Amino acid sequence: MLFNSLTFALFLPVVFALYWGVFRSVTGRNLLLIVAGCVFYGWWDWRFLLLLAATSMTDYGVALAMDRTTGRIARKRWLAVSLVGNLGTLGIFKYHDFFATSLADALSRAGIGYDPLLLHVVLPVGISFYTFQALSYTIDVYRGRIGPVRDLPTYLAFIAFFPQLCAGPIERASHMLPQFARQRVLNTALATDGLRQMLWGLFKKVVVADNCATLVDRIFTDSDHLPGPLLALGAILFALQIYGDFSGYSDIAIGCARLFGFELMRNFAFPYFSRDIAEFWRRWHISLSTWFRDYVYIPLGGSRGGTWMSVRNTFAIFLLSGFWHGANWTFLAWGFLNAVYFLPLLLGRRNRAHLGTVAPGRLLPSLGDAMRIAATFTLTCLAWVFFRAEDLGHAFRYLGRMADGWSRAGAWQRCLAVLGDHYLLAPAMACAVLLFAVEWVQREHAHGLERLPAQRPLRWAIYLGVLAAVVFAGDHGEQQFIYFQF
Amino acid sequence: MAAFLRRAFGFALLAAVFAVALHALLMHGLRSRTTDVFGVWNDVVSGRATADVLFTGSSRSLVHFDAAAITSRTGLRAYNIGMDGTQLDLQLGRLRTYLAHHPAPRLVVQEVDIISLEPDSGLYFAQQYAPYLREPAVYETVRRVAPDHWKDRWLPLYPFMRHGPGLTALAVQGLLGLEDTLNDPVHLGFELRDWPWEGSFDNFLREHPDGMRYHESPHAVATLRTLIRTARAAGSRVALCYTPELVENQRITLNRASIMGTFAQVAREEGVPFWDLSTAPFCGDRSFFYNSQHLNARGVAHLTPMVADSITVLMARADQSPSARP
Repeated sequence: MLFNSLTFALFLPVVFALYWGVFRSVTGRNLLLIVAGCVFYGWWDWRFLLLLAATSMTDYGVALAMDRTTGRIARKRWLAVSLVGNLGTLGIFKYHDFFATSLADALSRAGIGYDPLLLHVVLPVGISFYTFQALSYTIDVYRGRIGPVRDLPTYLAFIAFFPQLCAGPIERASHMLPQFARQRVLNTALATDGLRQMLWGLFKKVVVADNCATLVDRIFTDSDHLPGPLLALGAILFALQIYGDFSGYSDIAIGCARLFGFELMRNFAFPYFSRDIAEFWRRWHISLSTWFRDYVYIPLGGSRGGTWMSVRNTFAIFLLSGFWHGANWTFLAWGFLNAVYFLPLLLGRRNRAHLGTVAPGRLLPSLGDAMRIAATFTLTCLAWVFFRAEDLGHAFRYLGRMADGWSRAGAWQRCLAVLGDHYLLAPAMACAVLLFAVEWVQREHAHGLERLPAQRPLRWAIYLGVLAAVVFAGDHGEQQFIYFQF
Repeated sequence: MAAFLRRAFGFALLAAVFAVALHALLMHGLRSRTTDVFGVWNDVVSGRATADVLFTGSSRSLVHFDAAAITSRTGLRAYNIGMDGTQLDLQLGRLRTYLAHHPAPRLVVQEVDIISLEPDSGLYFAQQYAPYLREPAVYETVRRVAPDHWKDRWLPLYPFMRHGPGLTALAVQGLLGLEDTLNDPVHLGFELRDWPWEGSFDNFLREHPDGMRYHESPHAVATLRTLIRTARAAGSRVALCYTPELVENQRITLNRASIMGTFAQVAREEGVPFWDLSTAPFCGDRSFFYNSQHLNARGVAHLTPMVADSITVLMARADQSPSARP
């Protein structure tokens, strides 16, 4: 089920009414959330609920087994069961065919013929998200940070919590499980803010992201025949699209969770206002970045082992992060490029130079900050080309052609002709400018509509205005969220 | 919790009122249009298209029957309710809507063509139906062809979400009277398409070197009979008319004889004339067409006297034998 669908608009109020009006006990509400999660996920393909159930039950059992065992080796073995179960599932569904074809390519270059066995399986929606969330549970139990959950409905509700089941935020068990174990009360202020955040997320998704998507698709598909200015615009539009799409999803997920009395972790903190790439990665997909920090970077030694180890670990998590997104060399290249961007900051010990919000308390940034923001955005856009391209060859051709045609009148005419076919681009661009203007003003808060005028009529007028933009300027083709494929 | 529910309900109510009002306003804008397809629809549902001769059918009706020229040749008021991209189901819905708002015409000319008996495959330019879904005949047929169009009928502003800002722009134009009436290609329901040969037929020939076979859906045949009976029940005479078609296309249609036979059989059994104008000499000349199925202005100029003569003869016979009324 998609957040931007009519089905969800009917599903949410029904679950909300049952949750607060009918089910009063913690267990009852958790059971309802499990059923809601199954309906939400099963709407796409109910068969993959079995996979979700199998991996969840394995982790539930592993955690209990670890608790019963005192020996370190035995606990490690149980953790290995969880790691193999989760990463093995991910490997089969997501990476098997990639490794098999890559191996076949490598062998054929060496003159060895090899016909790989390809599975051609459908990638279950959200598998990378719920797998990592489940892993956080068994690893934390192994480390002794949390105890195992004995109450099965509590554990399953944590795994199948529908707002963040398909595309995160990737929650930590230590943060979420206590919330599922306690009685929830509806906090009016929190729930109201949740609705506002959902509205803002919907605006980002259907107005900005989905409207950019049409032109982005055309530009990337025809990139071998289009002039450089248009390719540059394509890269910028994809940056807007992926931000609107994924941060929009996260806003809706976080806002939706608040309606049920839950606080999810923040996933985006206005990343395009970052002054360097390190700050960008502290603000973009925060739940994944911190997951890799907590469960990969720090266990590998983090920055404690000197410069070489820091560099090695930094490259490791960027490459893993890239590979997490998909089984394609383009994602690895995207991760590698970001690691390269990060390297000078790391070596110069400037990777924590910008920890606070840019230009706090001021209307505009300083000239230096503005230039740094522009430079970071440009680097990010170049990296997004790898993320969006079909393969590495496509990405390099795209970047190569991007420099071409800036001084030819014919190229600009071609740009205008292509843009003329997309009459929705102008309103989408206007809405994108509005999006960034609003988020700039709100950059010291959690989301774009958090701080609004105190007068209710004015606030409600703003809500109606955003709703009107969603209705009249949005793309209502119920386009899937980009991150569902990961 | 009560406070939250009160506030949420209050806002939802305000938003709903706002949506319903805006929906009504924008629909009024579409229903105020006098140009393009909406102009024709508005004529049909508001009783402004009273005619002695009514042409109905698909795009081949829309671009072949020049109602004004027929009127000047026959002295009979003519109107064309042919619709682009439609099959018989939707044409029947439109005819029923017309009859609900007008006195029955003396003659209904139903255009048929090589794909008339194909099953419906969806709505073409679906936004055109949105303002008229309160018309029972329109709603019934649209629902049959595209079941999820109940949302356009019942959910405020949904048509503007589904069909995009283009529909909103048309509605606003209609509301503010900003239509381009001088360049409207549609007149009395007829759209003159003086287009050059577009070349799509050459691609079609390449794609189907062994010829092409079209469906003959029993449902479509039944719908054609229903259409004829509906018009006759209202008091109109009916004629089936197969308008000119490029000979090259006739040659590659493998089951053309069967389809033409079906039309002839339906006409015979229902007691209506069947005018096959696809044998006209100019059907072999591409310069009269912009594609294999549609005439350009030159072709329409050649077709008009043929249709006018057929109408004149039919109506003269009818006037001479009043006992032969439908």
